Amino acid sequence: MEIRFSKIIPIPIPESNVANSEIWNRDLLFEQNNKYLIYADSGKGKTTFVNIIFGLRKDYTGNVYIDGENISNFSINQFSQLRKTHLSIVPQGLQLFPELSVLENIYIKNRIQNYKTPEQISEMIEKLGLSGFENRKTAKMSFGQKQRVAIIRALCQSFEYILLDEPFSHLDAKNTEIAWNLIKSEAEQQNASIIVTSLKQDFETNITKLRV
Amino acid sequence: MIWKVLKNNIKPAQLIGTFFGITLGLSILMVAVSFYLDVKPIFEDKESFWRDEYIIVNKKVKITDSYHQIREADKEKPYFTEEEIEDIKKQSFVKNVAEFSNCSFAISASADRDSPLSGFSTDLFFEAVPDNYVDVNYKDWNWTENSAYIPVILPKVYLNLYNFGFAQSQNLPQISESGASLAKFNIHVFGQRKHQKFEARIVGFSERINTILAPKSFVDWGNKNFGEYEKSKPGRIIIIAKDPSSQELVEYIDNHDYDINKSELSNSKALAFLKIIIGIVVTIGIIIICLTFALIILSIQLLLQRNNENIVKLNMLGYSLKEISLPYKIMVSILFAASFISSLIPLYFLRNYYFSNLVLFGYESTTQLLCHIILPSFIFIIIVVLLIISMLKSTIKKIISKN
Repeated sequence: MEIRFSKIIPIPIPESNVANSEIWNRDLLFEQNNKYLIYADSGKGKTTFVNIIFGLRKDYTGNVYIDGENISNFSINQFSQLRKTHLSIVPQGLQLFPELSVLENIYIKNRIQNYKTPEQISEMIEKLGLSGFENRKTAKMSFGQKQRVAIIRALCQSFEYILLDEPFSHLDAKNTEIAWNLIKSEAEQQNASIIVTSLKQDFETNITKLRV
Repeated sequence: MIWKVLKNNIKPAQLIGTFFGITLGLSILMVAVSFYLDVKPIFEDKESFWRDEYIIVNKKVKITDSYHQIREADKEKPYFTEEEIEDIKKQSFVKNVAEFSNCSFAISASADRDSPLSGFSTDLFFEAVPDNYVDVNYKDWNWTENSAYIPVILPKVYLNLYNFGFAQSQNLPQISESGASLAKFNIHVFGQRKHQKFEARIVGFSERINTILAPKSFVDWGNKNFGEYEKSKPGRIIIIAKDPSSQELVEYIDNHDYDINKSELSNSKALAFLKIIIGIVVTIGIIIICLTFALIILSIQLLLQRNNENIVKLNMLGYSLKEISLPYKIMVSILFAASFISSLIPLYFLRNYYFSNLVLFGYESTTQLLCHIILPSFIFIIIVVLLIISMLKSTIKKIISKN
């Protein structure tokens, strides 16, 4: 699967932000089995970029093509299908269900494809230091813990692209590394691409960097 | 698990309230419809007088207290002239008018020696009205020339008079309607110097027409072949009234000094009143149903708006419109199914209750509960549920598209 940006300019973004951007008003091609870092200071449109690909925003000029098809023509069900098996996401707002426990938040995603076994899920929970929190409601957890839940949830599906919107903003260096490695290994297994946004550009060497 | 997320903001009290609302509305509607269907044949029965109100009108007989007055009255017998009948026909409250036909020949009745009525003999008269005005449901109510058998209808009051007056005072056995029908007797007609004998039988008792009725074909034939004097003018007429409770009718009757049985009018007033009450009950049922549906639709809209965030999150995880709306569809279906089943209980008991009263009047319904009430109501509920579900889907679609 390939994602192509053709002269995308989000409507709310000021003109000055478009001029120096390597994303806006450009023709870009995101290919499978690659890693992309989208970096910029706050307010430049990193989240907007992620949301445009994921079909959550439609207020832009230009076109986005997924496998040659303009996503502005996609129906709700086409997007659902895309999100079920092709596109995974860790949104900046995480979008967890606060009334559900850690396990329930993960299983509500996993049950769609039954992609991971309970053992694999337990293993990821353990790796990310969430053991013992399985039955805790996410409403009662810190943002850093929630970020890790959202990462595990995003890995419980098949995907060709995983979109990570500042996924480690509230994680310490050690947990960031564990999480990043987990995501990379999962992406490698699936021959998938990673598109990650960050405030910093010193993220990893082997990654295509684009400034918003 | 999706239900756990989507059931957020659903309050049990709200669900119970909605359940009772639908149950109440459905019960009222089904009982009203069932009552309407059950009593409709009473209004529409072609064999009875109940469909249209039949009112028998005659002119008031003047008091005669002297020989002179008797002679005068003789000249001005209380007959209806053709003009008067035409005028009655023109009235807005009149649907149709029929005249009573009198016999202008002599009739006597007697019984054979081997009959239980042996020794019985009397002079008699017949009157006739058009066949469709007869309120006794008897399929052989006709007479053809050369037929030696005449069916006869007596007024119900004659039987009552005998049973409760004469028989009791003379210690004689009482006679039932069917018992009376078994007795055969002979009819002799005389006139134009001829005589002919017929066999006759009582085929029924009329509650409305206070006369001895023979088929009109017989009376007409008799008048032609045995009539001693020219055809007399009708002394009584039957009016089929469009609205017997109308004030116009009462005024017309009073102004022309005609006479009618006032109890017939009060009867029809009761019927008119019953129609209005059924109309009101059905209207209230429909209003309650509509209000309940409006309430359900508003509640669902509110519920979806409150769950707006979770719906969007589920869609973000890849749940399709169909998958998100399924729990709500199940909820609405269960709610309506439970309400429908519950409303069958009051339907059953209320129907039995009013039936126990209708049966007292000797009424039997042809309406089948399952075919005529439950099945159409079930189809109605399915249509409503489908409408609500499609509204539900379109609201969820809007919520997803907006975000």
